Amino acid sequence: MGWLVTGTLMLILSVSEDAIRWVSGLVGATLFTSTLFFFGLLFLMIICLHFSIRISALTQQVRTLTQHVGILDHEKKILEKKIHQPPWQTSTSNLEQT
Amino acid sequence: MKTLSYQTFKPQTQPQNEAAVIQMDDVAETFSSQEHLTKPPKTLIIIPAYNEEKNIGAVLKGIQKILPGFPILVINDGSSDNTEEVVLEHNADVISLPYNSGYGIALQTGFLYAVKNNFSIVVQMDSDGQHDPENIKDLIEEVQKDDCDVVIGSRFLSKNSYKSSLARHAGMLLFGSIASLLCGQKVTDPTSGFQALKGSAIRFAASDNYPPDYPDADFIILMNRCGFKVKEIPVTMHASPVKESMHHGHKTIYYVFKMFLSIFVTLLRRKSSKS
Repeated sequence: MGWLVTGTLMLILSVSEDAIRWVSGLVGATLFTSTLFFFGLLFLMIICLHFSIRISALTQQVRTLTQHVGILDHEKKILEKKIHQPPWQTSTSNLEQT
Repeated sequence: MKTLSYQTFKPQTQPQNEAAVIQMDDVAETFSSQEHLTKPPKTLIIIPAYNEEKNIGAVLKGIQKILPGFPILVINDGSSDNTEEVVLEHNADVISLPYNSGYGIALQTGFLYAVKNNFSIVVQMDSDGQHDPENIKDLIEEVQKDDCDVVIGSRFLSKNSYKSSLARHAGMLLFGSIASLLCGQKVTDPTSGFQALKGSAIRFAASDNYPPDYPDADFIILMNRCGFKVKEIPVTMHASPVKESMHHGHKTIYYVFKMFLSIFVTLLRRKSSKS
């Protein structure tokens, strides 16, 4: 979405001289290209910040998933052992006894 | 973005399954001085391990010799060697993470498991043989007392064979001083991985507030700011048989930077009570 909006705005600014003149006057730029680069870089910085936040959240989610996968796999192995173990045999692991 | 506030931790009720409480004569003796306790608490020892096939066997043997029948959980942090097989050979339990996630995440997996299974005390120790299993009882006995939630085994409160490099010692001194200043109490060994936690402190360690990279000085400060009582006791710390530490080379610089950042973020957060 951000890419589409910014792309359209950059296209309008590049095509329409009146628009770029107005925006350049607004930010105080003497060269039109400076205006385009300024907004281009600003957009890239915001995108980077946005991705950084998203990646942090995803890392946290992967971390939680990893931990739960480990615990569930452990529980699965205990249950498998219990199923395949003859009833007269007792468990050797202390955690299984709990 | 996440709001910078702590979760509220309310003390959980006692485990419903009384039959699940482990009976251990040896441990019962340890707690016999505590008159208010009729049964030993449900205690778990967690050991995060990464490529420790050479040392983990001796560590497990040492614990089983001193505390026979004690539940031990090794968190195999995506080891590429035979750590898991060695642990299973020693009749200990192992949770294997699918890939190497780091010390803090492996440790927190143990806390999550402890919360899930209603363990009331958790002892964490390293897998390289630095920590003496003889001290586990001391940690458990101390954490049982009403005046503390977390007990840290400090190598600097007693005479030890442990020797560290100058840079490492300087780092420990620096972060120890910062932690002492911010906690308002003396913290001599902020990097000690030999700790015992109980009750709500375990649930706090299992929450999102836990520092995922290196839970050292920042975690002590965090616990202190949340109202948990942290205490240090002297423990024996042996020289590590592994030549290369977890913090070596460029990782040392990363560790120092990350620790400063983590402490800074901890201070930015609002103070909150544990219950």
